[in-house]
Amino acid sequence: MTNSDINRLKDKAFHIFGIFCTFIGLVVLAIFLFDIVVEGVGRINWDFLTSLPSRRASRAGILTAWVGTLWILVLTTLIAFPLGVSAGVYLEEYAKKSRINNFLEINIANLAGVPSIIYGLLGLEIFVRQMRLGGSLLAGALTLSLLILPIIIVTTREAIKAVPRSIRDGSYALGASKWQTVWNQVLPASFGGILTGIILALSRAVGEAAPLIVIGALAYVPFTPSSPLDEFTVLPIQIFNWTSRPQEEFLTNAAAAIIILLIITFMLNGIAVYLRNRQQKKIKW
Amino acid sequence: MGKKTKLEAIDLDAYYGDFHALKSINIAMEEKAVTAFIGPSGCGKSTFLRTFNRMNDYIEGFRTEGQILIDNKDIYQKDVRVDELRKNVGMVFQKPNPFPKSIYENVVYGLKIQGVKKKSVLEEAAETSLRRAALWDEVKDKLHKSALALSGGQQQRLCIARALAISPSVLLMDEPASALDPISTAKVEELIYELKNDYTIVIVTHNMQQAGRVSDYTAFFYMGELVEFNKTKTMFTSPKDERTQNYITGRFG
Amino acid sequence: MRASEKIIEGLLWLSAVITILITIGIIWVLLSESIGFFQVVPLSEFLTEKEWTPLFADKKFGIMPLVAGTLLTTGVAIAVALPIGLTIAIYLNEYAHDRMRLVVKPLLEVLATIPTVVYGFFALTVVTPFLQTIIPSLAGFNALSAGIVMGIMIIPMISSLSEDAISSVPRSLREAAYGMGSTRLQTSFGVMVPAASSGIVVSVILAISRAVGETMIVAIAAGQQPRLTLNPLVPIETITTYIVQVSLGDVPRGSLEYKTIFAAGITLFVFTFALNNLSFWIKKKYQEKYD
Repeated sequence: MTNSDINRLKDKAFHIFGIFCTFIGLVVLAIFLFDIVVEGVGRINWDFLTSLPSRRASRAGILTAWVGTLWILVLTTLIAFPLGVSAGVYLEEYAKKSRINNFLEINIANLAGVPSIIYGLLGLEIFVRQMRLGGSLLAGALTLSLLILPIIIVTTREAIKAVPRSIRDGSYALGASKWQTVWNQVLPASFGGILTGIILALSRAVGEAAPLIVIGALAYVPFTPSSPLDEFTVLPIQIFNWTSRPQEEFLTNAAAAIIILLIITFMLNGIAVYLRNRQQKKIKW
Repeated sequence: MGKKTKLEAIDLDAYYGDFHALKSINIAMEEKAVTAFIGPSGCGKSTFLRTFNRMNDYIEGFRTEGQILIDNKDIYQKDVRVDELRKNVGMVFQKPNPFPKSIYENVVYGLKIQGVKKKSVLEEAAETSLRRAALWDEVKDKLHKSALALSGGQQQRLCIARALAISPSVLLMDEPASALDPISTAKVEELIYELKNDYTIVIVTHNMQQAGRVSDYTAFFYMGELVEFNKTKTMFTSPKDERTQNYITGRFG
Repeated sequence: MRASEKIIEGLLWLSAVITILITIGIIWVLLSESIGFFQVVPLSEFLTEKEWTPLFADKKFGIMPLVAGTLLTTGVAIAVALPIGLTIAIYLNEYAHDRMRLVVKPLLEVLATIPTVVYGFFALTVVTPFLQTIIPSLAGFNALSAGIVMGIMIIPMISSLSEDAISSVPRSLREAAYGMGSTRLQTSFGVMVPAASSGIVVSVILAISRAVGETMIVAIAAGQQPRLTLNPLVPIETITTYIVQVSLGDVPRGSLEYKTIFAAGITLFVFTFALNNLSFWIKKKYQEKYD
């Protein structure tokens, strides 16, 4: 074999290795989903969805968990959405190139890299102890809001950046003020992108267990919360709890709850991807 | 000239940071006439145009010295409100920039942000402006369709209608036909000719023929200086400055 | 009207400034609680003691076992994710067709959207039993399977960031390599990867930072036994798992045990903070180089 033959062979080999690597992750994912579905789908029925937790695996349900997850989803949206979008608008539309704004940007990038469990410690001290909210839904939602704030800010900025300068010029030239321009032109034009970012951030929040465990969300809550100040559990914590038990039946429960959690996560991501594609199709500047 | 002066610059200098973009410009432009600004890219003509509605205010590091007068009032005084100024000085941009909204919403945007809410007033203004911009017949049946669906030429006339809707007395046009095909360009030029009966128009253009066709006066800019300003006919037939002559005969640009 | 503009700008500014308050809050909380801890346990003991047993009668406060556990799972994860992720990046850039790329990339992103508690379940109930058939001595809780699964989770992070880095290498460079008769493999490893190296390094650093802070996978599958070892086959405990373990129990506020989670937290924060800023620094240098 000549040198160039060997090179070509190596090239071919790497090509195959590339395909292998690309698919190994996907294959593992497929095996995993298959395994979960096989183990858990038989357990999902009306009783499972509408029963309170129980010490007996066969009687335990996820009512409090999914209701808690829903509460957290809504409260987190209410807190993080206005805050994150406002901050994104400020940084993209108002902030001038100054040292303090430069610092703001670095700081946000840093926050995005702080482990979620650290946010849990922050929430524990500030919301649970200092503000005396206890292990309540509100404390959990506030903690998760801080966690996803950097994501929302970054995606809001991206979406706003995509609105062309000419739209702003057109608005200013008609005598519109800065805020009128932002409110009437920039935000509507970037809304699809902002929404996509928020939904992706929420799908992250829905799957979080660690920070909520740290602030004291409990695995066993024998009632569904009726106000933001009630104690709560969420699906990931319920799954964690069941996974850590030795009995096989609880693992089945965990698998069933995972199916529900994955449905919620994939649905949120699906909506986000759909919105992004629609946005890209709709507006060609 | 005899006619009233509408727009005026007195010893105007402008800077982008350290860059000296406009160098002591003095000019007086007549009311209800079309003045064309010509000159090679980067000569400052667009920058100068944008000082008349202070569109440069948002650019970091931009500052001016000297005076810009509209109806004998210095618009860079502290007490001048930029939003009021821009209601009086409409602007049309190089590339058509309709808002991603309906045709109707585009035209009435300026009035709406002024707080006009009455539907009858808005609708009437929309129709009047679209008629003035010679677009009404083409769009009257699809006022509530997206403006982005219009052709480039239609979009640019929509932008003109949008500017007219707030009843300005001055129209600034920054190469309004440079992104359009010849037929659309002809329509826009025709429109400019119509509009000068009621508006003072300043148009920046790269296109020498266009300047010749639509303008009464022409100003030639070069490297931030106003080299020559005269009646268009005079300028094109007997330019005084050598640089003007080189430019209009196409030796650089 | 001008007043309302100012008020709105002020409110928007306030929202942006809240992000600084969050950082201050994090540092303040971690410091104020762990200062109490370090008054009782000297920093030297914290850093050099080889055992971590705050919840036992014989209390020892050496962070090293937790750090070792964290580094062990992280090491396994990177050992899995780096070769696979980088190969995917090269494959998608130099070998794959556009159609393939369009299908594969979003599918890989799915890996990053799955909640970590779900990965933990997978590690414990699928990967560990599977590995035990190959390595019979593998314990039920171990760093190996938690690390492997964590590695799978961060594959898309490395592959997409590295792909961005590789595809931003100027075309001319690649064409020059092909022009000299290089194969795709030679072009990739001889030209593209070295040229994109800082971007690839950034992706790895961010992946390490992510793995260090990962909680639920290790809390479920790696065990809760702090031990100073590099053996991936036995149960260990990471910094994050320890915080979860204490949070699940009933530790009274103000007690030394309670303060240990903040001491552990500040250790974790210092690690990730350093890694993140290292990556920003490299990224900035790298951008300057190409501009």
